[in-house]
Amino acid sequence: MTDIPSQPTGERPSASPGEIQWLDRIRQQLEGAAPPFDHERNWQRVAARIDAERQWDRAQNRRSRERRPWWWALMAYGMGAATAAILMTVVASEPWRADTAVVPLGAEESTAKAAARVRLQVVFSDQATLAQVRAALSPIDAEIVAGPGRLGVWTIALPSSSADEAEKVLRALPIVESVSR
Amino acid sequence: MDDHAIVAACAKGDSHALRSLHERHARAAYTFALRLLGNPADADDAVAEAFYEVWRSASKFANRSSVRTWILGIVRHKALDLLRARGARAEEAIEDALTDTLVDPGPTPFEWLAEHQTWEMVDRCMQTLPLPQRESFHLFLLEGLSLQQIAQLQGVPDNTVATRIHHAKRKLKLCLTEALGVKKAGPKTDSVL
Repeated sequence: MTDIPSQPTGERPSASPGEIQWLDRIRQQLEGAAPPFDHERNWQRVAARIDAERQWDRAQNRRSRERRPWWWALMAYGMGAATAAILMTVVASEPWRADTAVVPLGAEESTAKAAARVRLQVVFSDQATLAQVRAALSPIDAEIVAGPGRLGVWTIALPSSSADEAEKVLRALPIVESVSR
Repeated sequence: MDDHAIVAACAKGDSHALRSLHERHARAAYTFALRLLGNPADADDAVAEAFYEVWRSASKFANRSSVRTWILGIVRHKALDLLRARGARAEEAIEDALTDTLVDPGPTPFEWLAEHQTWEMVDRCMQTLPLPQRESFHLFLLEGLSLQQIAQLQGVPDNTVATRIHHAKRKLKLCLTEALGVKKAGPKTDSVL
């Protein structure tokens, strides 16, 4: 009781003996006249809440089990097995080991087409740009099959039906130095 | 088995452990709740609710305070919830009444008061104190909690608790003095006021 604060500040001088006696008397009176408390009844209330909570939890668990049809577990196992089988198949095929060499899809076709067409050997001027070459070949439906070789000769293929006309067109272009079959 | 071990057992779902805690602390919890609520039925509700909360949150008990302080803190929350549910403006009720005008209760000596005051007077005068002061005074005088423990429980600085207790004492003295019909006419000795 000696540390009962008698002042509102951090410095709390000890209460006087009279004050201590008075406060002690208050404590005794309040403790002595403590209101009746039904310990057991209060505990039963707490215990009832806990029991209700446990029953609720059990009921929830049971309900969640009961809600599933009989075939639910079977289906779950089946889906798991199927997933595992698919994974194993994919892993066994080792897709990451597939040949990574790139084969241009158009290469064979172009070659085949070129075989069915007329081929011309064209020499473009050294000043000709790639854009100009493309612009020259596109209207006559020609495509480069090979080249340029060491001497700057390009081999192009074009429809045989228009080969003669195309040859004339090419010869007339300023970027074309020579055309031959 | 000490209180902390019992709380740990509660956290594992041992309801017998909770019963041990209830046996040890329910009466103090009830007295405290009754001091805050002033109604036996509400106090009983607050204690039952508080021990159910102890059961549910035992695993969160951090051992930073005594189990008694922890339980009283839960009782306090439940009591304030009940006050709000009752429609009382608990926020106002728990506001600090530090701006109260302190009236000098006069030089009535403590010894004289101690000799003449009755329990009924003390109880009635306690109920006239503002809630924070009543709460601090109860915890200090009847539960023996330190200022720091009360401050932690109420969420205020230590000095605030000291102030609340100081004000509670002055108001209590004034109330008892008036209840005894003494108007600054008692013996003029041993007054600290």
